Amino acid sequence: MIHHDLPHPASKDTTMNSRPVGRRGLFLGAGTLVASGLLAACSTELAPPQAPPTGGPADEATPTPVQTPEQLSTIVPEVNAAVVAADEARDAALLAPRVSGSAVEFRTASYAMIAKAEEWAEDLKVPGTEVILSLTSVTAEFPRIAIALVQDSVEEDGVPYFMALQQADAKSPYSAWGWAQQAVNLEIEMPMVADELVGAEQVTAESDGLVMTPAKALALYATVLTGGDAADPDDLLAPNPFQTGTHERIQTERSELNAGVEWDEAATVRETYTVRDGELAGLRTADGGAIVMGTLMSTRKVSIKDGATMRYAEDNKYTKVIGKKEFTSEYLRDYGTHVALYIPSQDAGGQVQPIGATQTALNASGT
Amino acid sequence: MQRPLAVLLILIGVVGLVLGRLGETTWAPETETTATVTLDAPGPAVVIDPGVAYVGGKEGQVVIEGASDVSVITAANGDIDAYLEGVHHTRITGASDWTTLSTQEVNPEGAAELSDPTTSDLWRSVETTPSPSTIDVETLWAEENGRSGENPQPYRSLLIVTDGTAPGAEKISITWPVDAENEWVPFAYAGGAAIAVIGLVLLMVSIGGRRRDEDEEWSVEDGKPVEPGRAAPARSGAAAGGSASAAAARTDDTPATDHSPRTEDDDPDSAGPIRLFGDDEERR
Repeated sequence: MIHHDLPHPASKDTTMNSRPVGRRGLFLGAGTLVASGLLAACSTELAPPQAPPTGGPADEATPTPVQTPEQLSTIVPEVNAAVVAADEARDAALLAPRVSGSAVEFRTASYAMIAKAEEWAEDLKVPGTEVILSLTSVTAEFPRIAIALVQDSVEEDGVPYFMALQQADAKSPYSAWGWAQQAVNLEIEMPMVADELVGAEQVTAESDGLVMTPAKALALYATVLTGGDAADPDDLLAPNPFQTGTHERIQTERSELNAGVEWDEAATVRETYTVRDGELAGLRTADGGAIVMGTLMSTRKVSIKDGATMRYAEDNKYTKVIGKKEFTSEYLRDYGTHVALYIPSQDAGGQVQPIGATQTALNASGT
Repeated sequence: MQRPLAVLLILIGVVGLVLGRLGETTWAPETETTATVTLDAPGPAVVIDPGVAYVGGKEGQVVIEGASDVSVITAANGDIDAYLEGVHHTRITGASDWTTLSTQEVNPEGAAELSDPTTSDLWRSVETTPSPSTIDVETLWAEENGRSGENPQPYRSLLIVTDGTAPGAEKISITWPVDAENEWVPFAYAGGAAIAVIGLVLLMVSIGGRRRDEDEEWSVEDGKPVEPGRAAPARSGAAAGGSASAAAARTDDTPATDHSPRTEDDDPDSAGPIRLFGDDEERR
């Protein structure tokens, strides 16, 4: 049997060409792969920059104090330094810019009195450099308020002061317009305040949510200091050391003036308090109440009965300022007092509690 | 033909590997990106808006150049705005592209000077250094988030001033690291390696095939029969493999005719048609 292994062009060609075509294809394929990778890399473009991150809404919703404890710890020593420098030089101009308002006026008056009677220098109250507690504010609007509880400058364990600090506008520095020494009375419970890193809302003269507005609370205090407890029939104001001490001193003076005569036969003594406008520092407390600082002005007037004569046997600090010891009509002494009150929230209720006061004698006169 | 092709593939493979290495080193893209702005009469203060320092991430640095000592001030964002109310100043608001910081001029007709701008009670920190001043972005981030101290304040503005009368800054740039790399590098490595391996295999096969052919050629010349399927190279020097083997499988005395009829009784070892096998089959 003859077997013809006929040529099979198609199959033969395929078989014969398989190896060279495979190598060439592999070569071309690999080259294409590398080239396409290069081209792909070359064609890559950077995405445009994203808008800068600015924090989320949660960050904006959480108010933060507009002061920091560090800031107040810097400011308070500068207040102290200014007061010390001014007191040494008896120059109220040195108080600026860290001391302002009524504090400058009080110092100016004090220096004038010291010029006439050096013993008045002993009455100058100087808050220290150490901040015991910072009461910071979360209210960003100006003027801004902060209250610092500051150590006494005289004694390390002395009675601290509430210092009212105010920043009038963004370009002005914080300045202290007053300081009120904390009431020392175990029966007075100091309010709880917000953490200094949390801060508290600022209150104004007419802020609500309190048993009474800060303006009314200050007015009530002035009224009670003037007229005694009888001026507070609803007993809205709690007893406090400054009121007690002031009334005791007035009573003592009245007694001394009328010693040996009938009650107020020779002279009457009355001290009248008013609220100084424009100075109020207030921050909410943790319980929704508020600590409020203000300035009271007062004049203690001794009215001498017609025909009577009030005469001091020896000069005292006031008569040295006035320049005489004998008066037939009236005898006046002016004071300025920085006070601090705690006003409970309306929900909690309770009495307005004075928690601090520092009084400064401003002048004396008489005829 | 097999050996030159193998050598060529190896060369291409090596080139691919070299390209990959160059793509990683010499031709690698920059590892940092810098966005810059040169400020012309920006006013006595320049404000870098909240978050702009992080335009490239939480690493890198901000470099500020000024005519004199540069003060970098931090404060509550609203406080800086309040302080600059009515003052001519410039805000850095972001990056318009990857190399340029965008700016916004504020109050161009406003006050041209600031009085003692480093002493405000609003400032939470004031860092005064000779120009250029550098802010480490990572440190800034740590400070803002309270990791390196108290008083955290995320995304704060940065107020830049000099002496209150000269421009707040003359040039500001933000540089940050980038992970950029040539995307083709892995392809170059992989492709180059693959091609080189193929080339090496081909080369080895080529060398092995030549040895066998030489051995078989020696056997035919000694009168021994050629095994079916053996594709010995032609004595005349024809290259092994491919279609050339059809003729080369015979001795010099055998006519190179594929179409000669054969019977089944023909001795396949001596005169039968040549079957073409793949390399694998040949090796068997």
